[in-house]
Amino acid sequence: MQKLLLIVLLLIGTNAISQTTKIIRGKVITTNKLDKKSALPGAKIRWVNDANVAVSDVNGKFTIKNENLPDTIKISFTGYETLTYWVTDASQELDFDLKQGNILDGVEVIAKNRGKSIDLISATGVEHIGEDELRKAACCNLSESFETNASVDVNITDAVSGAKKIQMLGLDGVYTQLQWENIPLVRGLSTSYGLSFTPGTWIESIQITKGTGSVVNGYESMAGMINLEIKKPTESERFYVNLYGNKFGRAEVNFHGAQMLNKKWSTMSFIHYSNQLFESDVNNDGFRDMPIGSIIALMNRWSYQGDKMEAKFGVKATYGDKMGGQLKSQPNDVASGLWNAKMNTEHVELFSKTGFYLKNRPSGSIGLISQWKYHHMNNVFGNSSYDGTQKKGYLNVMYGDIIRNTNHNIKTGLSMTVDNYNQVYNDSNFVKTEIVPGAFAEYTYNSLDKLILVLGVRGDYHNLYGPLFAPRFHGKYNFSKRNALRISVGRGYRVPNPYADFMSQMASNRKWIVNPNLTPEDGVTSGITFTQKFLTNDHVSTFSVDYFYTHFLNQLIIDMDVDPNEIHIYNTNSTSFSHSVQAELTIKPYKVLELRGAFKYYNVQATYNNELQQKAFVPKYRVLLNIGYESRNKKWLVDVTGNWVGRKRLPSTATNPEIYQRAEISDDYWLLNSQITYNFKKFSVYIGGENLLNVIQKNAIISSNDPFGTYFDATQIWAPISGANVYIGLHYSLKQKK
Amino acid sequence: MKNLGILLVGLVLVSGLFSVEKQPKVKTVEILTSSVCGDCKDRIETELNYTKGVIFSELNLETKIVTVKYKTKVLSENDIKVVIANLGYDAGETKRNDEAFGNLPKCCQSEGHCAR
Repeated sequence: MQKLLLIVLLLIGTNAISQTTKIIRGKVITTNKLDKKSALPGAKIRWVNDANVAVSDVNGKFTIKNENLPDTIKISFTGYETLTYWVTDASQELDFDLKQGNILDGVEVIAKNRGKSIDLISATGVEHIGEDELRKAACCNLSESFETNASVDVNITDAVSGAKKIQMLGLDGVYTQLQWENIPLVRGLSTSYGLSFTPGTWIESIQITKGTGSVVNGYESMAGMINLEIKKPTESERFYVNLYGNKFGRAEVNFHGAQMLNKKWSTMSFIHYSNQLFESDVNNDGFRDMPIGSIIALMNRWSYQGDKMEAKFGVKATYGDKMGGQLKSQPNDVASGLWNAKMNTEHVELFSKTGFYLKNRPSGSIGLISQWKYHHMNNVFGNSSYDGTQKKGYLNVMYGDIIRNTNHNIKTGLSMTVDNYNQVYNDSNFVKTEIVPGAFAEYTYNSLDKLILVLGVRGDYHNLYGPLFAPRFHGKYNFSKRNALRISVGRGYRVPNPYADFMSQMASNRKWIVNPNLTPEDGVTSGITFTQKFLTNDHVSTFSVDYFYTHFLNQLIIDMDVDPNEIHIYNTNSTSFSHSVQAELTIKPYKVLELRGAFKYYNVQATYNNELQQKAFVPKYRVLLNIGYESRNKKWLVDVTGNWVGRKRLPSTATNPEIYQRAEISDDYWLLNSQITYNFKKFSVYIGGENLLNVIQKNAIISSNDPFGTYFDATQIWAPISGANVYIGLHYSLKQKK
Repeated sequence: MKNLGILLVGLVLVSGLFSVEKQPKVKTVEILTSSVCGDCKDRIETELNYTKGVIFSELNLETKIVTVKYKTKVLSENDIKVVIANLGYDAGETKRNDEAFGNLPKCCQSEGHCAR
């Protein structure tokens, strides 16, 4: 009797559970460009609030459970646009027609996010910076776009050129691969000033990956990979204007316009003009804090969406003319006896991306990327001069497909890079042509997005340095729906470009002692990242911690420690490494408020002047704090960012005469920036301040009163050289009619 | 003493009456809409946020309910529904303006066929 009762109770119990568990049936189809419908097997089906997942079968059919109805269902398939649908009950069968999306877009944007986010799905741990986050720091170009981001540090390179460089894992920006929509961006001669040639308003979003990236993009990413998505003709504003002006006389104008010509064709044009109108010298050293002069950047891009293929192509051109150095100095004006720096850049680039759908294999696609580039740079720093020309051709062909089902994915292809360099430094001429054919294959195992393993191999043959072999591995596992553990290991290389890579070092009278037989740098980077999301007051907060270790097998050392009047550039295979730890917490206590704090530790050491020591100008500790407020009606945006930069080791100047000696360890300091934006219906205005605590490095330039003397050095920069800045600006945009 | 008591009770009653009659200056309403996607959300929120008298508006796509906080002196709940209807969406019992609906992007007209 008791047993019977138990069984009855159990039955009632299971019945109660089965009442809440609903089974939803449906079918996934796709309509091709010729309006023919066909079943889509292998599509992923998942819920927003429920852990159940499913995959569509050979006939496109699926069944999926849900315990939490009503819920939002998401249907996705690589290369197709993701569909979402609000499901209230299980009674009806659901049909989904997935549209073929852009096969060319390098990044699969999992959720359209306008702020900053780290997803839990991708294998490489991509940090996504959206448009809203980019607008928090309104000025001015790519080098300033990372201001509120903890993974990328930005530093001023010298006290003359006004150029900035990035750093990831405590390693110089040259070890980070930069690309836009998978096309190489800052490389070769553009390494030193390239960041300032991409205006901030052109950028739609930025994806940051720490450690080595995918083999598909080349052998170069060692410390990290940064990809930019530039605004696209189909999604951008019909017309957009941005005006900007700051206290130090910098003025900028940006225009873009996009047009959908018909269903297949669309085009977009960009114009950027910036000018440093007058000279300023806040630190009173007789030198311009920022060079005067202008940059003009233009771009025109086209997009074609056809039945069997799609294409994106266009042209980009940049002209920059800047003059730094002593106040009132002019280029080529020897009679005045003033020290002047002239930086002149011309850059023209043609690019194209073509993607083909395969008739018989909806899952397969072929993609072709090509780039043709001319870059010319003419620089004069005091008595030294540099003239360099780079001609480049790049081709990448890739085939992507699934093996049997979407659990197994393969990408394979070939690439070819040809670079011709002609550089003249003072009286020495350097000519070289690099021809690098390469092949790659990348296999991805994906088990319902929970476990993803990516194994890539890449082999390139460099005509000057022989074979370069780069194996890479990325793995990800979700212990629960709210966290992700990622592991990556990979080998990367970088072929150095003497002179062009160290342009900022020209702002000194140090004698360059360059080993004539430089070899490619070679390193292994491994890392582990853990990300946990949690709810605070129903809002998503994120905690993330990572550790990365780069071990150089061969590194190019820029050694300023041998002698304060010399700079030694040579390869070394003695110990050189970087350990970096970053912990970051983003909390959203209320809908309108977001707080972010990050702590970073960099132990970056190499042998300088025969002694293993911390790399100069890299602080051991850094802290980033950010407060973001957005009013509930989205009219007011307030952002405050504080960056604490710890003490840095500086190259020794002990053998200089006493007045030209500097401390061997820098002070720590806080950099405080803030911006307030008010949105009107069609336009927005903003006012902001940078370096609000007015931190200035005193006597930044060594021997500024004798710039032609032996001891002159404007490269020992570890803090801002000009004081607090105030800027204002406006955005105006007209949306496209769809 | 007794009189004082009556007076007090009277005062409380009167003030109670007043508070019932008096409209609160700021009110929050929840209105069910026929929105489908992120595009619709942007459209409805922006239009309402820039309507005079609205303090803020937020649309929850999962429930399709828009929460609007507004100044009762400037507009009424019905005015808000009319603003939404004029954009081409149903707002509670107020039916959408069909002409505005026709001008919406295709994805906002057909349920479940939106990219975001």
